[in-house]
Amino acid sequence: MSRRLRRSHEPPFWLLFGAGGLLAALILPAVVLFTGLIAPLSGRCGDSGLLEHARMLSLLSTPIARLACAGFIALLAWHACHRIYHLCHDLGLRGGAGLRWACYGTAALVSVIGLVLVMGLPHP
Amino acid sequence: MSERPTIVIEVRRWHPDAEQPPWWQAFELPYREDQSLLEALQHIKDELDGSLTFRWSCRMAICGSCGCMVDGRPELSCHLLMGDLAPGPVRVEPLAHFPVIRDLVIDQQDVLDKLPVAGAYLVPGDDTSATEPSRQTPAQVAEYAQFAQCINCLLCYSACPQYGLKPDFLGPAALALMARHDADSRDAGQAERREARDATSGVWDCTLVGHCTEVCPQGVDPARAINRNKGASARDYLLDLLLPGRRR
Amino acid sequence: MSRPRTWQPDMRGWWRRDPAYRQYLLREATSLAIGAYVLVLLAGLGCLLLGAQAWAAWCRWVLSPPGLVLQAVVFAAAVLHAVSWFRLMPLTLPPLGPPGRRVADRTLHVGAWAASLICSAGVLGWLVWGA
Repeated sequence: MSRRLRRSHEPPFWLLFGAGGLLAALILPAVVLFTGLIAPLSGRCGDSGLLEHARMLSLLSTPIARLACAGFIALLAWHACHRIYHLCHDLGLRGGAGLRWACYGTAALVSVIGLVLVMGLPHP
Repeated sequence: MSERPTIVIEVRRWHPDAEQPPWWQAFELPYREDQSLLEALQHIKDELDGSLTFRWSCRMAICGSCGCMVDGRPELSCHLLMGDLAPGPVRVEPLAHFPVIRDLVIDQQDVLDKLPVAGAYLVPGDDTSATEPSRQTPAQVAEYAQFAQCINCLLCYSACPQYGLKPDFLGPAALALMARHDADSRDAGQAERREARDATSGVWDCTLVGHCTEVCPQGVDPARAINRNKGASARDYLLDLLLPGRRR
Repeated sequence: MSRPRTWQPDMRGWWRRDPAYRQYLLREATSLAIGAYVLVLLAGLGCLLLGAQAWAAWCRWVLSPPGLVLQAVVFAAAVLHAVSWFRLMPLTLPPLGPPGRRVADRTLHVGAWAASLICSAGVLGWLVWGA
């Protein structure tokens, strides 16, 4: 019995998924804790306290901080989209190539938008 | 008759010549605490319904013949005690994800075909003499011993939803045997197995559900064997991309 | 050789067979919450770029009941993700250490959680005292 073997192109996507998954496991709970609990408790949001507009801009003023922020958002997006793609498959949704493009296209789009936004931030 | 307690066993039955879809048949039978489910099935066949069909051989969880779904979980029927299944009822079905030939007998041909595709055999290196024994240190044996315990009972295939969803998937046991031979110091077949490992039906069909490892009666841990190979497959993918001509 | 006549049940509702499957799907579903949070962060970045007024609006939404409920769900998903990720991590790594004295799963678990603690403290420190 012959079986045709086609090479899988999963590896690059799996590596991005894995990087995002590791990053999420390491720091995502802390980041959500900050935006959802610590920052709101620190004072009126947006005007004073930890989420003050000028303060956020100064936090994201260095190239390293900007790249880290964009990278965090991008890797989380690749992680989530990869899992959502496989979740759809597991639940029996036969999306085919269209679903694949939608999922990974979204991740790529989020990555680019995140990078453009963070690089366009004004310096305080 | 004795005053032994009774239990109800519901069996999923099907006969290729019967003009009806698969049906459930309930049998009530006396049991002992230390009796295996396989013995209870044999009691049904001997005393209640001789047409009930199932595979078995060793009765001691080493031949891998008597696998079936017990209350939705892949099990060796000889490896379960009625005392643990009481008070029942116990639902017994053929192993999931396989074509059923009759009653609890499944067609395992697909996996038999996949074993050679996965290169599930030892490929001797050039330095191995046919006349000399190939010695290994205990540390070298320990590298693959766990993965070598497979008895081909196919419980892991029934535990794997990805195999059920993607029948081309080489599956847990075949990929565990691939890792077993890759990790063997006497083996030189890793390059030959690469194509199957890297294929769409290879390690990349696995999503690490992990149920294969939980149901394995031999403690093989196929989930570890497969996912360990994903890193190696990804490394080779990138190297092939960066160094054209590296492969073939 | 011809194959025998057979029947085969389909895969509809396969997750009903075993609680382990539902735990697996729950683990995979954490990606939905993480994906939603990514969009929240992306919107926040956009608002930050647009100016103080837009940023204040984003902050108000994050503090609103729907925003807080979403973040509570994301936090639970993130913790569940971390627990399952670190639990399965040793399975995905090549054997570490010399043959015969491989690093035990338990060591890897402890190391992963220690790394998580240090990284989380570092990120929180930067977010709270960084500027």
